[in-house]
Amino acid sequence: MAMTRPSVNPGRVEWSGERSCIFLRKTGYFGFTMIVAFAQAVLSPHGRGSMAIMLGSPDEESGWPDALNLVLTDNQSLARWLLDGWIGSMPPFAARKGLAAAAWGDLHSVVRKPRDLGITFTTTLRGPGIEIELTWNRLGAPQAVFAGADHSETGGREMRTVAVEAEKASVTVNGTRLDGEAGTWTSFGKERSTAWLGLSETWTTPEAG
Amino acid sequence: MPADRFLVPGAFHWSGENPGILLKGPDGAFSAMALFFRVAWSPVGVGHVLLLYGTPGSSEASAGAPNLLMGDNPELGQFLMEEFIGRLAAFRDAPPFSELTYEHATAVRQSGDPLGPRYSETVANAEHCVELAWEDLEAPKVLELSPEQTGTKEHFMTTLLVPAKRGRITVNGRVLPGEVGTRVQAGMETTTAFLYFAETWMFPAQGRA
Repeated sequence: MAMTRPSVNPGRVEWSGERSCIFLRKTGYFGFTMIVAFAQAVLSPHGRGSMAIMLGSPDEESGWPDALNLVLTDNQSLARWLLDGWIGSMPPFAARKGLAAAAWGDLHSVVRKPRDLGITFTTTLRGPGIEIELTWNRLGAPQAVFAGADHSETGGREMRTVAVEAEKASVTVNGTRLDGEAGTWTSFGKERSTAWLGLSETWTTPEAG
Repeated sequence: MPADRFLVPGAFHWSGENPGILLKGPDGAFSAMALFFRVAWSPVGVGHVLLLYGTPGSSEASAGAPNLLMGDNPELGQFLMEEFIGRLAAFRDAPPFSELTYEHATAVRQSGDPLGPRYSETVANAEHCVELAWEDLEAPKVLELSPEQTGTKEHFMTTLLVPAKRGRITVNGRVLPGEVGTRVQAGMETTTAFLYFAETWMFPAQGRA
């Protein structure tokens, strides 16, 4: 990409950080039955922070604890901005009833291990009365991905990321592993895993005109 | 199988954050040099590393202006010294380069906001507490550089640059002497105090030089 594009990109920087996802399907279901995104912003107009959106009942119009639909964050304005402008408009989050109905809670801590990123990587999120463990298994090699404004998930913006796909993944809530398995879906024109780490991710809006 | 047009070609090397401060004395020579690494992916895992040349002109530094390599992942420290810093002439050719020994860091702390008035990284153990602070921060810019535009001359590199007009290196409460200067990167005049986020280094597709 560096060869045919300007070295100093004239676009507006929107945010930078990490956006890692796990989408699970239960056997016999066509759509995703558990969709989770975890984001950490190191630079944004709303400051730094972390947030997770979990829709365990994506088509149910209710939030935690009645349904497993919730947002945990340590920066509410950042989380609202990311949900409205990015994550909420991306498949498979877009237009799901559980998104608007999700309950919000404080994110008390984020613990990530191990540090070798060799086979398994786990992110443990703790909030009020809830502990969520996201595990990416059988991690592949990192891949630098660039999606131009015509092809990024939100449209109209450019995205650069380092994708590390996982063959398997699991989501555990308060010690109970939830049903469902990671699989593949068509993303950026190719079959890719529904569980991946999105590291060193930066979004820009191209210069107008 | 069709080519994956979203994948950036090349051999992935490492990705993460790589801010730095290079201070110059009245004679124009570097009086203190520091690079900090927060690595999100490398072949030896993730972690933090600080490289400090408190006395860049000599391998025998004073206690007040030490030459240090500190981190929380010794394999990562070795990887960066051998595979990356050793390719940066300004650091490799300085007398301290071959004399450094690795020190374990017991604390690494980030503070501030890259879009705010001040940003800092602090790395510490029982003997040393080093703070790098960037102030008077400029607007962020995405850079996409070809090998001839990078410090190593061997990699393609993408990064999110936030230049700072002022930078300060403090060791055990003592501010190291020197001033932030100017430099040219990819034809753009910028400063010698810089934040780099979401930085990814890749060797060209045909293999390593």
